[in-house]
Amino acid sequence: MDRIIQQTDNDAFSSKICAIECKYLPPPQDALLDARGNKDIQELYRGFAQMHNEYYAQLKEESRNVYGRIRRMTRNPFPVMNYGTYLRTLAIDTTALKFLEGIPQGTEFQIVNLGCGSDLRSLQYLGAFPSLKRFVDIDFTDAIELKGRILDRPGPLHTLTEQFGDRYVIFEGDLRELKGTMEKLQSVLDPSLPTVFITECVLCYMTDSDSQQLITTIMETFSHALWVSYDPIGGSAPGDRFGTIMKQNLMDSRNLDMPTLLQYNSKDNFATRWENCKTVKSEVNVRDMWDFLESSITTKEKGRLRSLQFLDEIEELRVMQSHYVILSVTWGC
Amino acid sequence: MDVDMDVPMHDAVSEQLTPTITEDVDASGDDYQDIDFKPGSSGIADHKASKPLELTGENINQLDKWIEKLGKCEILSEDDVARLCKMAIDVVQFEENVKPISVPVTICGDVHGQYHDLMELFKIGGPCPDTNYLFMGDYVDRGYYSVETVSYLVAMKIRYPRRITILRGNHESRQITQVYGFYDECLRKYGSANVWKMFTDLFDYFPITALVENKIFCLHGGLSPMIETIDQVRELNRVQEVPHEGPMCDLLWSDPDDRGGWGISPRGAGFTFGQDISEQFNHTNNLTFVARAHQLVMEGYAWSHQQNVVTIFSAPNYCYRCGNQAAIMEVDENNNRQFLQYDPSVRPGEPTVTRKTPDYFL
Repeated sequence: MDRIIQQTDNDAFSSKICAIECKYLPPPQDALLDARGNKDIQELYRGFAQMHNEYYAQLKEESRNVYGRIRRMTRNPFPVMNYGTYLRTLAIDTTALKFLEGIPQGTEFQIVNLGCGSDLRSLQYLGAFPSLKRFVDIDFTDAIELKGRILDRPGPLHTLTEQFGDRYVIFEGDLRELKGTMEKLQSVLDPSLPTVFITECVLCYMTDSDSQQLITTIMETFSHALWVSYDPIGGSAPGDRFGTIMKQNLMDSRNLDMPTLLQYNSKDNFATRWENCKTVKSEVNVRDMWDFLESSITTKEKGRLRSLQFLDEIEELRVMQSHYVILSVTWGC
Repeated sequence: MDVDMDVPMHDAVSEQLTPTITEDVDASGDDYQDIDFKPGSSGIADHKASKPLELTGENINQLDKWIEKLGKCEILSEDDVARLCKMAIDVVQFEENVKPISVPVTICGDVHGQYHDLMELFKIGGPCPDTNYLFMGDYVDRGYYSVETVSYLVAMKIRYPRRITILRGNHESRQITQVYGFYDECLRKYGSANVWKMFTDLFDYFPITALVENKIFCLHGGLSPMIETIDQVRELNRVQEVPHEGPMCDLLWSDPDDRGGWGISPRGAGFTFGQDISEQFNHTNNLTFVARAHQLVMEGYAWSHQQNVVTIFSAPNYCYRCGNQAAIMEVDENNNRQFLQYDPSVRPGEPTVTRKTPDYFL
């Protein structure tokens, strides 16, 4: 089961490679309606394509098997998938950047990517923010070992991580074994510093109690933080079968389970795990990704996206994107 | 194929246990520069007849054999596809840009390679040729059985030319089928692009609109700012690849919209048109309404513009994940309309398909 969950990282990484090849990512300097956000985004996405292409090239040397899987997935990407990858990438970063804006300039802060897989935000953020004291990548043993080997291979990525020194921490850990995970986190993080927790399609694979405990424990341990999460929701409108079909499809085709997809089926329901933590006062904001496209992306940028590929089905895009959410929970601010 | 030097044992085993149709890594090639884009390169249109194909006992026999085979979801040989497409050209090339249709007729929207759902459609609507059918395009792409679907419909068209009409959709095009799956499926099922070339050469001859009893104007997409009257559609030269712009492109790409007037389409081709536009068009051409397909609608059909436009979509659970119902519209002898909705057919034992791109964001 762990292995099946880990393989979803291949999907995520191949999607990102496709979105880069098709020029959806990185976003240009006028993608966002929020002008301040645009400035930060430019800084954050400097060298984005090269960084990912380099990782992909090194992956080929390190594991022909994983590389082969990803290469198969990158053939002929559908526009709906590229749009979605673009949106999820941008939504997570704009949410994190908005939180960081609120921190007084020069204040040290930390970021934790829970279930990081091959995501390279560590390198992006460490490069963009000198006051980022620590970036922690944590995932299953196999995933971390592969990522570690790739980043250790001689080349620009290795040079980069060397420069970052102990600001970048990468370690193995099972998010379901809370005690061990928290001990590791606390050994490298200062719970009083502002901290960003990222879960990108991670909570959806955990059981309700595992994810609830993880959320509660982190909220009670860290005093000032943002939690940003990107996940699917099953849908709650009458007759909405998206979640039921998704659960069935993933189970049938790859034995992949999403235990809480139908439970946290709406934006409101999705937020309850953070709201359940009664000892910590938090501010919760959840938007679906269709809303993000409609209300955060400029008309000019939408025009650019249109020009990249023929999007044959805008309705299909809407159906899919309204079943994925971006959550932002802040506490101690 | 890459040689997997480091395939772990459990990996190899899990791949054997899951029945999958995996895309061959190197069969499809990386770039499209190799593809002969030139319309007509398949040669199927080289010796077109000067009058419509006459059904003889011999070719009826042949067609019935093909239909029987395709009815079991088995593909025809490449040689048979060539013969099928040649015969089809000699049927559809003589149809008008605006094909006149009499009632009763059952009007259907996008099918998109969902072969088993097409068989369900014929169960719901009644078997062809007992029921007359008008399909408004998009037979290929997205679903996993575009070859079987389009072969079946084309064979039925040749066999029962006055009972079934197949219009052209925006996916019946060389460019779109390379992005959305039909091209890859042809390569996978036939080992070369020949069958894709034949079908896309045939698509150039499909009629683009139909007119039911002079009252219902049927087409795949929608209206065009360059088309005010149906006579203007009759004047178009339709035998070509679907252009990127202009009236023929718009008829296959446009969508109705809540906003009035003409708007830029979010699809990158065609336009959006408001209720004012459809009212004017229906008034000018003395129509009851426009019937079109092209857009996913969750109930399978949806009226818009105060019943000036109806959208019909006949691919249930579109792309095997959207959860929508499908519908077809029956118009009887007295011009009464009835919508029939249906869900995906149950396909026990069908192997799951590993796709080259992920279906979900994971």
